[in-house]
Amino acid sequence: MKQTLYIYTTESNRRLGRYKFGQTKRDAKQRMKEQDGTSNSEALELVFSIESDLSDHQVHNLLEHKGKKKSRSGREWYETFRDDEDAIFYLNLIISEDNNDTRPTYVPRFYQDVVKMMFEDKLSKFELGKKEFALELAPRFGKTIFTIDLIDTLFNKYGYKICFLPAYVLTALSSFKKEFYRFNGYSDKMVYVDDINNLEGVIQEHYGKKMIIVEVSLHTPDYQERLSIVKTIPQVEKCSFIDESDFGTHRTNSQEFIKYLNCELDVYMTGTAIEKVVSVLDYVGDNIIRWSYTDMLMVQQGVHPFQQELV
Amino acid sequence: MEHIKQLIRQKYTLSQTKESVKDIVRPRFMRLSLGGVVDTFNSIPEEYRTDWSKLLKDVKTSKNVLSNLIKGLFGVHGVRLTYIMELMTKDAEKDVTMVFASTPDKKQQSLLVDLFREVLGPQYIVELINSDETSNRKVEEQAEKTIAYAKETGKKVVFVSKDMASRSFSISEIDTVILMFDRGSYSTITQKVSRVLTPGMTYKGLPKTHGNIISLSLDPNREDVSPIDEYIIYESEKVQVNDLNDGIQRVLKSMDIFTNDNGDIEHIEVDVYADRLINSSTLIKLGCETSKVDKIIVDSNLVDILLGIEVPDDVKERLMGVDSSKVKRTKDEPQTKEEKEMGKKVEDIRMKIKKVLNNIVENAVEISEINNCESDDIIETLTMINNKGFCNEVIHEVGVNCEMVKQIIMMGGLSYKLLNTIISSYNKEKVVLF
Repeated sequence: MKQTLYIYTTESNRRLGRYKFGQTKRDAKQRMKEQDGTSNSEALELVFSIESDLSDHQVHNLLEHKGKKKSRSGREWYETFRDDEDAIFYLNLIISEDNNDTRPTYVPRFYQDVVKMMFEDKLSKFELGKKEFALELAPRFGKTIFTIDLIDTLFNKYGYKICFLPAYVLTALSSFKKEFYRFNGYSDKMVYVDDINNLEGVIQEHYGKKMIIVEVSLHTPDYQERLSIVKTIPQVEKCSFIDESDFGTHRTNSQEFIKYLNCELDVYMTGTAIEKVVSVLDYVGDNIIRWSYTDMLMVQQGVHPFQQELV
Repeated sequence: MEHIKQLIRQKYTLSQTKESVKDIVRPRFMRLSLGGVVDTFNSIPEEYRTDWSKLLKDVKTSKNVLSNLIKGLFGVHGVRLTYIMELMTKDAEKDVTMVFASTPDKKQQSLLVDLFREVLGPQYIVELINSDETSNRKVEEQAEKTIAYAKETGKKVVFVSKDMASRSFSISEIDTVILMFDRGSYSTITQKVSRVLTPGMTYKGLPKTHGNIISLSLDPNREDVSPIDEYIIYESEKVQVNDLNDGIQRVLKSMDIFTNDNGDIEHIEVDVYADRLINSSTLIKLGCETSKVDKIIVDSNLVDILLGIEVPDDVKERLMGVDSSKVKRTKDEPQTKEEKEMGKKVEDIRMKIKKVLNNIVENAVEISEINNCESDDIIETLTMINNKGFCNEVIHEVGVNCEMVKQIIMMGGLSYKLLNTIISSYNKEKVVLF
């Protein structure tokens, strides 16, 4: 039977990495309000809520199974979370491993679907060999979940088996991991690696069976040594997505790093200033796809050229 | 493209496509000017007729002017104050406002925040966003907490930043962005404008339908493009049509733009505004401001030809971007004399290339004249001039030959679409009917 699982915390508990994991049959906010001010000197802040078949007891057991410890005996507070996103990630991870995954399914917006069609249209025309794409997708496009969905397609339809996410600033990836676990249908088919020290083990266990997504900082010291296993993977099975690519990716160091990964397909994404990105790319040709905020507004009004002839 | 359109037709109805974007936030631009009321223009004191960078250079000195502007923008005055009634932005909610101000340093930024606090009073929580106060990772979380607290206590919120929180900062409660700078690169303007476009619930708990972007031009005499003009042109360039004019019309129809040109806040007249943007002089200014030296310096031979000298290899290397991240430097380590000289040389070369590019933009209509205005396409125009044997006239006007100009355009140093629009609008103006 479904109930709402929720996570909340307070300001000082957040600083200590502590979060409470509870359940209610009613609205999570309402439940939190009832608890607020009774035994807590600080205001409670709702961090996340989701419907699930799991009970909070099951969640607590699974949290402990994953190495999380109760902060105070007999209470529902758990500790050692980095931040809100980390706590949300753990709850979604637990739900994703349950037989009845209640997380929402990604339904692309019309324009996300159109851009994916444009991308696939261009990609399918290519023979073997290096490919570069530059996507300028307006702020608020929904790049993160769009990318996750596209990576899934690259694994299923195009034979790519490992995908790197090189980032000049790690905030460019801040929403990636969260979205990866928030939606149903991805985390069971892909493995997300946020520490390259674990890469070798993950490759041994999952390569070819699941898409392996690797978060990697473009400032990683000794990357040639630490990522040497990457060299053993055929180029044709490697791809990369570089978000916020107008920010630092055009630098010599960053380009050397990306070249070292030697992926067959590199996709550079940005919200603005695509020219900054394109100027350093040798293989991009006309693989440039732009979708502006005006395009989104035109779709809203039903006047976009792509909506012509629709009834 | 037809293949994609066919796929779309198979998969979607018109109402399905519209439904999928129903929560997209519509931008509402307020392109304001102190000179909005023409009659009062002559009596506007000199101290107001400046630009943001000068005004924010020394917040203490500009305190009176800035106080009046803040009061005018937020409508917190009870009596008539000098020249601020014209701003009239009461239609913009301003429950949660984000101000991007071009303060030169953190000291002036702090002073500006203090001034906001002083002027707006206790009903507003004014928060400074800079790297001393927060980090990129934490800023969104902190802002959310501030807004939650403001809701509980019935206060309004103003965030003041220069650049921080202009990326990956998504808070739906932000209903207004105020741009307190004169111009910037397209990308920074777009990022800043976009902070108000996060969909979701408003501060009042209602579904968000629109976001306000306020830009205030301080010098009524200036014909410079405002950040809003730049945003519109940039969006127009991206619309998938061939003509910039068509792009501008489509963009303007998708957004609400208000102005105070006639004293009251009213919808901008799309045709008049489009004409103004398309007007050659505006476009020439824009073309000059947006010429891209970075695109050109990657070709060292072209750089030599444009400058008429052979640039030494070490300068070329630096010009093409020796990665500064490779240079180890502590905060206290001074630049060497050689480094300073090299920096000066590089800057000098960049300025010279910029001049060459700007010269081409400024003479685009002359180039069209050489071709008797026979084409609205700059590349075609240059090809025709070459074929007719008039290339020397192009060299006379802009200092480089037709092929070189074409190369610069094709490399993206100058906007192809923008140059086309400049010459086509000029060519149309030239048509005389008897």
